[in-house]
Parts: sequence; structure tokens; C-alpha cells
Amino acid sequence: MATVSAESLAAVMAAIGNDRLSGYGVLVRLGKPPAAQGTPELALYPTLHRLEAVGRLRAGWSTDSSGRTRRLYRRS
Amino acid sequence: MLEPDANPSSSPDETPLPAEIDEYLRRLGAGLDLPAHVRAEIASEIAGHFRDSIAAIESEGLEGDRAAREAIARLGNPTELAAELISAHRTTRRLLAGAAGGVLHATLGAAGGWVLGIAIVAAALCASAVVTGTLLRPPTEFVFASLPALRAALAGLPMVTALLAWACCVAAFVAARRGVAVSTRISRRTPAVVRRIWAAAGFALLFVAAVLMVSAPQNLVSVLSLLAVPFVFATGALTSSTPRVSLPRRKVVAAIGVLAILSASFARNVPAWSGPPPDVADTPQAHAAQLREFDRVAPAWTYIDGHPVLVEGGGLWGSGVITQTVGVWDFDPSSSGAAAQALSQFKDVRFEAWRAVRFDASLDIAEWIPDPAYSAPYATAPADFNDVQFGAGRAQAEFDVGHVRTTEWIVFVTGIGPDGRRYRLNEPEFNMGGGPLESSFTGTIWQWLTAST
Repeated sequence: MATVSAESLAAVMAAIGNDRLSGYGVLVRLGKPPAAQGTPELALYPTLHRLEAVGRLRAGWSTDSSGRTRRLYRRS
Repeated sequence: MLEPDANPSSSPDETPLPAEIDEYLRRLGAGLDLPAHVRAEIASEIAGHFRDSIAAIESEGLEGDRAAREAIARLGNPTELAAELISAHRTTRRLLAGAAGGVLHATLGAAGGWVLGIAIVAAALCASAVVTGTLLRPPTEFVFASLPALRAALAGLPMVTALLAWACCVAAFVAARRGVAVSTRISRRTPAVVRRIWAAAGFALLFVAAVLMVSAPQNLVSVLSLLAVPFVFATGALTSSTPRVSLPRRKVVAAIGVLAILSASFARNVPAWSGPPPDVADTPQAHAAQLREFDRVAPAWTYIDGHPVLVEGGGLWGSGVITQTVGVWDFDPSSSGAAAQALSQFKDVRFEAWRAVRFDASLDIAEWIPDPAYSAPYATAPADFNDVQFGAGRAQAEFDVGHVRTTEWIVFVTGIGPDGRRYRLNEPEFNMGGGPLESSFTGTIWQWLTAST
């Protein structure tokens, strides 16, 4: 099972900054390949959900003008 | 716009995903041991991820199925992802919040369920009174006449305990379902696990409370009713995911209406019921048989024409204490009569509380007699005929019988006569002609189970 390091958590928080991003948006902002940034793609969503569970991120659903629904994250 | 509570399933449907992605999402969902609403959110989120990822890969030159397979390869094994997501969701913080939220909502549910339970019990009582008083009156009275113990069990203060316990059952059921639902939603634990924990904890807590803590008038019916509360709570917890059973309201209303009309019409034609056998002897033969049973306590002392020395002066009963008052047959403050003179010859005059049992002298005649299973009174109390508190020529005694299971009593007054033998000085007439003095056990279920009879 992959583990989520403190560095990964910090990297995700830094990538989000003051914006509202989807999981894929965070991935893009972290840069490619993700593993090189210390946040493998597999660990991305568990990391985001863990940060939400502990209250450091807030998440909600948003629908854009094209009708696409995304789950967006922002800092609490 | 960020909408924390928005439901992803309410948004317009997206374009269909490749079959490989659907299979990935199916395997991911199968591995997510989380509440259904959380699984749905994760599935929507990962589906959105694949749409973005496939679009990016296609812009790099890969097309169709190859792009989908590449997106899957980048995200990784669905089983492993599911395990990581479960770990991320099940934090201690959510566990504690789930427990607290569950208890809070269970409490609110219990309050609402209590009101609902009272309403249901009241409605059931009214319906029962209508039905048994009209349509089913003959068989009901026949059953009660044949089973006097059942009639006794359904009367008195313990029945109030039973009725309140039934309302508690409704409250417990509602509380358990709300508690489980809220705990599951907040804690993100598996519903089956949450249900079992709530069922076990609630059952243990309510069982201890019902058996050891709730002190109330008891009999077998009330004990069984109170013991049902923890079982109903556990049932409510374990079946919390079962879809709510919807009553066909129109049919129920129609059935009640038909029942009322039938009851009203049948009531006009119900033959008169002669009623159950009387509780007191009303023939000379039965009365003589009853007196022979009384003589087992002590032989009667009569002063003239078979009259006892003492007569009943009233009594109080129905709770855990029975009170009996007696008076000298012919007491006259200005000149003592023959009964008063006879009483003055006796020493150690005392009240004796005996357990009573119903004795059917014939098909039509029932008597109350001292229980032959006992050769001594349950309790005695001195009879003081000089206590001004009760008036001249009168004496009164109270017996605390609230902690024994026996609920029917006969109180005699006896005294040691001139020849040194103990005699019976009164002839219990049974208060208001309705039977013996009645009491009710008051205490916890444990005390009831361990009490003497």
C-alpha cells in the first residue's frame, strides 16, 4: 500500500495555493511525471481526501459552462 | 462555484466513458467499503479525472482505447486505490464525530419516537376499548372470566408501566435507526459494522437500565414489556438500511372505518353478558365454605348470633402499601356494648396480612381465601383501639407489600382469648365487594425476579 508522506501533503497544499482545483488540476500543477514530484498519481486522491478529512481542505462539486461536473478543492 | 453539499448525481450526465474505464470504476467501487453516498462521490470524481486525463493523453497523440489504457496505467491499480481512499476517509476525527453525532440524533429520535409511541399506544387503547367493548365483548369477557390471572395482569399500576414500555419501544426503534444513519454518514465506517456496534452497545445499555435501574410497578406483563425495549432497539439498529415500510394509508383508514361501523352495529345486537363470577361468596353454602378457609387462620370468636367482634372500616390498596381499618361492632362511647366487652378480654390483638388466592366454589361462585400454601401471615401489626388518630373503637394498620410479587391480600384481626388460644375477631368482607386488597410490586426487574412471592 502506498504511503502519503508529509512532503506529499505539503506539495499538494502548495499546488492548490489559493485556487480551487480539481484532482486532475492539482496533478497538472504538480507537473509531469507526478512521481518525480513525490506525489504518485495513485496517491493523489487519497492525499486530497485525507487533507479534506482532517479539515485542511474543503471540497465541493461545481458544474462549468460546458456541463462538466468536477469536484474542486480549496484551502479551508 | 464551490458547493460543498452539491450532489454530483444531480448534474447533467457526461459523455459515455470507454468500457475499460467503466470496468475500472466497477472494480474501484467494489473495493470501497464506504457508505453509498461516499462511493458515488468517489466514482464521479474518478470518472471526471479519467475524462481530463484521456483528453490530455489524446492531445499527446494517443487515440481511443490506447488513451484509456494509458490513463488507467497512470492512475494505478483500482483495488490499491480503493484501499488508500478507505484509509484516508476513516480518520479518528470522523469516528468521534460520527459517535457524537449519532448519539445526538439518536436522542432527538428518541424524543420524537416517544411522542409517536404515546400516540400509537393511546390510539391502540382506544381501538382496543372500542373493539373489545362491542364486537368482541362476549369472547373478551369469557376469556377474562376463564383466566382471572390475565385480567389481573392487565389491570392496575403495572399495566401503566407496560404501556409506557411500549411507547419506549417505539422511541428505541426510531432512535436506533437515526443513530446508525448519522454515525454511518459521518464516520464513513461500513454500515454493517456501525449497525452491529449500535445494536450491541444500545442493547447492553438499555438492558442494564431496564433490569437494574428502572424502578416501577411490575408484574409479568410489565417485565416482558420493559425487556422488549433493548431487543427493539437492536432490531432497529440492525435493520436501519431496510427501506421504510409504507402503509397503504387509504386501506388502513378504510379498515378503521369499517371496523367502527361494524362495531357500532354489532353492539346493538350483542347479547347481554352475565359477567364473570362474582368475587365474593353470595350463597350460604359458598359463604360457609369461605368461612372454613378463614378458620385456618384462627377459629372465629363470635359474641352473639354469629356476629364477629370487629367489622371492617375501610381500606386503601392498589400501590405498594395496603391499609386496613376495623371497628368494634357495637362500640358506643357512652356505654361499651357486648362486642367491646368481648374485645377487652383479648390480649395481643393484631392485624395479620395473609396472601389471598381465588377459590372457585362452583361455576358461578368464586371466593377469596387465605392462600393454603402458607401457614403463617406475611406480616403482622399491633391493633391499637385507643389511638385517637383513627377514632374511638377503631384501629388501623399499614403493610408495606410493594416488594413481594403477591398482589392480593386478606387482612385479619386476631387476639389471644381468655383460654389462651388465638381467635379470629373479624370476617373480611372484601372492600366494595370487589375482591381482596390489591397491591402492586414496585421496583426494578431484577428486584422483581429475585423477590419472594
